[in-house]
Amino acid sequence: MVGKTTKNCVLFPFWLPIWIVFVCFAVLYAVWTPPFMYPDEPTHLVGCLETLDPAIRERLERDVLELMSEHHLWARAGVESPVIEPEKFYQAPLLRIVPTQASKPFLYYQIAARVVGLADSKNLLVSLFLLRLFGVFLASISVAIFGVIVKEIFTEQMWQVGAMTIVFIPQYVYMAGAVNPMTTAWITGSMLILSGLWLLKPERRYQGWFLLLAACAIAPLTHPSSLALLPLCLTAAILGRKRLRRHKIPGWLWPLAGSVSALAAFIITLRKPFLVRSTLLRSAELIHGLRVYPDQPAINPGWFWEFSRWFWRSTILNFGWLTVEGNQWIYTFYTIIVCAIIVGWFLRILGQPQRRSDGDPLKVTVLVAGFLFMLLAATGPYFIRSSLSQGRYLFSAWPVIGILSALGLKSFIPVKYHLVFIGLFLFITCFICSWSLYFVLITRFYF
Amino acid sequence: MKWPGLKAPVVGLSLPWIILFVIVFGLGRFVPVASKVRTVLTTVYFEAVRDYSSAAKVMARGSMPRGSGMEMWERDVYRSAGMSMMLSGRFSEAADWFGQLVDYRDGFTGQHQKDYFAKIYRGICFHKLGYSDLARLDWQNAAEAFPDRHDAFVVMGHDRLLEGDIAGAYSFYIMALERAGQLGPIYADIGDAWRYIGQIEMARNVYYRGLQVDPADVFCRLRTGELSLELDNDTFYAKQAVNIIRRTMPTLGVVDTLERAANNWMPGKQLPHIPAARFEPGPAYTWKVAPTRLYFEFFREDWHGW
Repeated sequence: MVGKTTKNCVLFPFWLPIWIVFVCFAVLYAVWTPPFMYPDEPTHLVGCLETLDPAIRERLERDVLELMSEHHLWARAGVESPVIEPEKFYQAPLLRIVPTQASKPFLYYQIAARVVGLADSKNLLVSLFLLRLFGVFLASISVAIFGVIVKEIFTEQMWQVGAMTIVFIPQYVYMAGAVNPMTTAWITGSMLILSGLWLLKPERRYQGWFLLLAACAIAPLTHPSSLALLPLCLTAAILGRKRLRRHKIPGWLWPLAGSVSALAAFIITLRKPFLVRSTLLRSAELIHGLRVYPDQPAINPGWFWEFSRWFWRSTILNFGWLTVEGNQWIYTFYTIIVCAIIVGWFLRILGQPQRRSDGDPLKVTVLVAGFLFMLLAATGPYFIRSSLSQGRYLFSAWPVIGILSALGLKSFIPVKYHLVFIGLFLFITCFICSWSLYFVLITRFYF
Repeated sequence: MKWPGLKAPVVGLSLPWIILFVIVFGLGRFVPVASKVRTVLTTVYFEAVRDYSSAAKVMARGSMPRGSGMEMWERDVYRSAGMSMMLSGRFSEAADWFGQLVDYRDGFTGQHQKDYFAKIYRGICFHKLGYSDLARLDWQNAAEAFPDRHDAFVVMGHDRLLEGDIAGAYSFYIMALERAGQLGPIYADIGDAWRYIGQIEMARNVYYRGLQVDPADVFCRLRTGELSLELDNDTFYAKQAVNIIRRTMPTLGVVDTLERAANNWMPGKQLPHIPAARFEPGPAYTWKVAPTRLYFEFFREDWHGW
């Protein structure tokens, strides 16, 4: 298997088995997770359904709250919570605090509403599970694009598989089934990464620009978190200029792109002013965050450790409102892997040239830039003391993280153990995924 | 340094945006569609720099597009403008903005929506301006419109207490507690009122009762810590209260004042005024402590806005 190229894999792509296992896991998580336990699921559900008929929002809210008081895990476990009994706690129901349709981009809701409309079911639970499966479908597209991306970096199928193993991190598989526009951001994120890599290849540059423009057009309409990957494409465009010097982009393309984007901005401002407002205000919060609380330091070292623990947990195994936490050995396993990746990268940078045999340096530079910007975008809000930051916001950049991890591990593991390591790694990650599924099952059927 | 080939992308991409900018902000008043976009962008700008009064003025001109959550935005802006004016002591302007909300007519659906909290806040503004009758009218209307809510009764109780009508105040407080007896912050608020008129033991009982029904309530905990210093010179209890509050609500900055007082306590010393809740001017949806729950801060005679 070592050294085998990927030229004969069109009919049976190497990522197909990984894709199938991923979809199976994601469907099981989606089906077995108790209703309304994905993050903000009730609000997104109402957001999808009200698209079909905005007049029924109030009735939908009532029905969803009623269903939550019957099916929500906390209700079944007898836990008092403002989420399921807002009136008792004198709070507005969550559904009114988070007006999804008004404050979030509309594309996901429009498409998801049509999917629900196909079933034409009056049962909200049926709609809920249908939307979860739609989420799995969207996530599976992003995993397929991931398969195309790794082929751009690794020549060996073995390490292509190694890089894709990251999709079996339980939190990622779990979020695949969420009724949440985030899964659309995974697709646009993967498209941006692929376009960045294609921009570096003269023979693919047109596809690269097309993909970039398509991703930029779709991303703000879905979930703009993936736009943090845009610097990856800009870095690719700048670094790839030398390679592209032979080719000239037609001059009329620039004013056309400028006019289309300006016109789109004008129409969106006119048609969706609330969306423009929330996007601009969120950007302004970044500036305000540092001076809103003048009596406290902007950055406290204590937060960093607290944040690291929380961020690590919320990236690996902390399931939405289930807040299931894994056994210590799971976190220890992933911590050891991360340490190996970091050491591997040191060896790659400082070591002999054969350690850098894989991965075009330009492409790796582009990916590192993308990773750093995504990390900044995902963690920045935490440091300005806003609750907007979550580990799962990194999932749009999951292919980048998978590839960089695989490059680090490849430099760290001796060559003769590569195959054994990847086999074991794949087995252990799948085992952890099944192990976590067991906890979801308990919450589903025990209470 | 020469950058070959950059002129076309820079000019091509930026020129349409410059033209759009000129159309929206230069010719906006002649082109109705551009005027709507200009209003949206100007309002967002004023909101971003936290000048809610200007944002509300721009919005009130009425050239905003309708639908798509606009009515929610409009109400947010009026509420933020009212609150920021009130917190800066400009009660007359605050009453005007709350007045916009009191009988808000949705420009898109044409429906009237009554805002309970705006009515209560407008009443407080009237009270500070000296129009007690108008204030009472607002509170009574609010209580009649939402008979299940406690807030209006708490406010009317405070009003009676400051007038010296202890029996009336007591009956309003009872009515409020009948509606939200399990909610700790109400006890802190009522206790503050008793303490303000010099009924310290009564206040202490109310705070302890609040802790009994809602042990996680930080406001009652803060007040019992204060009274333990003031009445018993018990620094141990006060420090214990500080620790519990820090664990329960790490972001409550006012607890630092109590900690400093407990660390440097001398018998007979007077405590500085510690507000139970921190009122943060800013967009209504970002308020960490809902100011709807604690009204007595607004009623204190020595409070003229921050």
